[in-house]
Amino acid sequence: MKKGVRLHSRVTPYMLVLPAIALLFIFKVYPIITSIWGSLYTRKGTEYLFVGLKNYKTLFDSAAFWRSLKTTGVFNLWVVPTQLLLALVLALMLCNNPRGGIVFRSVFFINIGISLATASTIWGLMMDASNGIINSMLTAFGIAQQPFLTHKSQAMACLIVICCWKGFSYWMLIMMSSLQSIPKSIYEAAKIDGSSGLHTIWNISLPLIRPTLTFCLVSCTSINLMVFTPMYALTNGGPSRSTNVLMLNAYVTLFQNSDRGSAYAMITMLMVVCFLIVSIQMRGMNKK
Amino acid sequence: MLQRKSKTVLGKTAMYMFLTVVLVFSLAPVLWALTCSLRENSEIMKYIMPLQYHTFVPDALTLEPYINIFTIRNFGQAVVRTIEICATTIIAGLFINSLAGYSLSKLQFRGKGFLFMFVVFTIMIPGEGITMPMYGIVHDMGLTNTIWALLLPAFANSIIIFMFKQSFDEIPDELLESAWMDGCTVMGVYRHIILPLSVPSMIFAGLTLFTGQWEAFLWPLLVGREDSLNMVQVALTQFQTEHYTLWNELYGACVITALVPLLLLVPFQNFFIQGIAHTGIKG
Repeated sequence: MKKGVRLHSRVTPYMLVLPAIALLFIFKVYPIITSIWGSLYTRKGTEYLFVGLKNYKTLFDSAAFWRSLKTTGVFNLWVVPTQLLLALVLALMLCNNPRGGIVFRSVFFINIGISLATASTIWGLMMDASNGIINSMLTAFGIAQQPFLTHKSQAMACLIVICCWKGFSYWMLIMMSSLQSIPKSIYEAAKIDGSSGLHTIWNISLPLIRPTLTFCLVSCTSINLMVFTPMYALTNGGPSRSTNVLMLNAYVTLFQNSDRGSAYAMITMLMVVCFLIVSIQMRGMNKK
Repeated sequence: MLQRKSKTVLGKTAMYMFLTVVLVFSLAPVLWALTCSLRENSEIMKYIMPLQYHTFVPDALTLEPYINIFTIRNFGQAVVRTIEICATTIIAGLFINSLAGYSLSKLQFRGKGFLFMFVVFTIMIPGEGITMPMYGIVHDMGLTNTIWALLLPAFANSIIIFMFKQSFDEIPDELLESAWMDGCTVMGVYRHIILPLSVPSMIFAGLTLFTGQWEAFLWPLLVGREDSLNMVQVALTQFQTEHYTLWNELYGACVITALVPLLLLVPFQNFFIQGIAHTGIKG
């Protein structure tokens, strides 16, 4: 459209865009403001008193918070690389449409339709300590039965498996489409130059899909830093707080202890951590 | 030459072995849930240990678990309610987001660049993270435990607006200009030119809005505590805490919550994949 020629009224564009902008402001931006603002107050009886950064100080002094933060970190350090590496390997295998590739792709697609809550329920029953199918399979192979979700040293690992199961195929599909959009001529040129196999993947495919990889890494991290559902559904943070991630901790603080100030402080911290990690990731991925 | 060939055969075999392992890992829980949902609870327990043929293959198939889920357990109410919420969200969401994308892509006004930056900025806000402060806001608005609390926050979606803008940008301006010259209104252009040309984007947006609502867990857990507002994922976890021993029905409920989105996603999977790839590459 030519600049300066306006064939519609002045207000129409605003009328069309404002509902979306208003909703985004109320339900996306304003909660951040509320979270920061609310974290500066504490409840005394029925009133909220301004206490400045006291909630943060209490938070930093509490061992439970650090433990929770560590738990969230450990969860992410396992889930994010596992999901993304698995997704990348599968995408590289399936992007050239090998024989039977469509079967694998379609089966992996099923996991996208299954929500995390549903996945948790299915796996929770399978991992049942006394009657679970996994334990009976272990017995069949002569391996001792495992406590899985009921033991503090195994619960986290179980939740990591569940989240990877649910999550990998989404990233796989994104990476696959991106790989398939690389022009064939580039590969042919590489082949003529004597490049093959892993060498081509490392030097040609991966650099060319770097924006997609960055997108996957950043989204995957920010989703998993906010993990809540599997812990809530299966372990409730236990056993002995071994799966008590920050979101769950904040949830309990807000709804069971009715301590809004501390809960909001936790959420604000989580968002700060998320923002920092994501910016580091974006810098790292762009520099290479 | 021969050596090279045997090397590729070896590579292929390794690849298919790996793919099969992941396939089993991916599919086995689904199949297990499906078989268990079609048999008597006592039968599952009887054959679970030690492992045997009948652990996996039912003696007798029955639809009783599904009948119970919908009659005694009232799970059907949650399914129907969630479908209603999804349908409303899709209709309102398609309108709100595509009109915003249309305005940002094809109309001229002051502050357009700023508003688009705002939309891009909100993409970066992690959705789950802000749920609890959002509860505070919705609570202050007096909307908790009303259907509006479940609907309103889901209508506007920055990724979808972004996607619409990108796809409308590809529609040539000349096409719109001639329509404008012929006296078509802004909404007329939207209806007769933009909409017919963006069916794939609409399908992708619809699917995204749908899965967002269908899979929602934390938000409905906070604001939909009344039975009549129970959404499927919350109803499922409640079912699990209340009737943990009714494995066949629990698995059946899982099958239902997984089946509904798959019925929509599988036929449109190409639109869905292209859509996520598109936002993934350009976002």
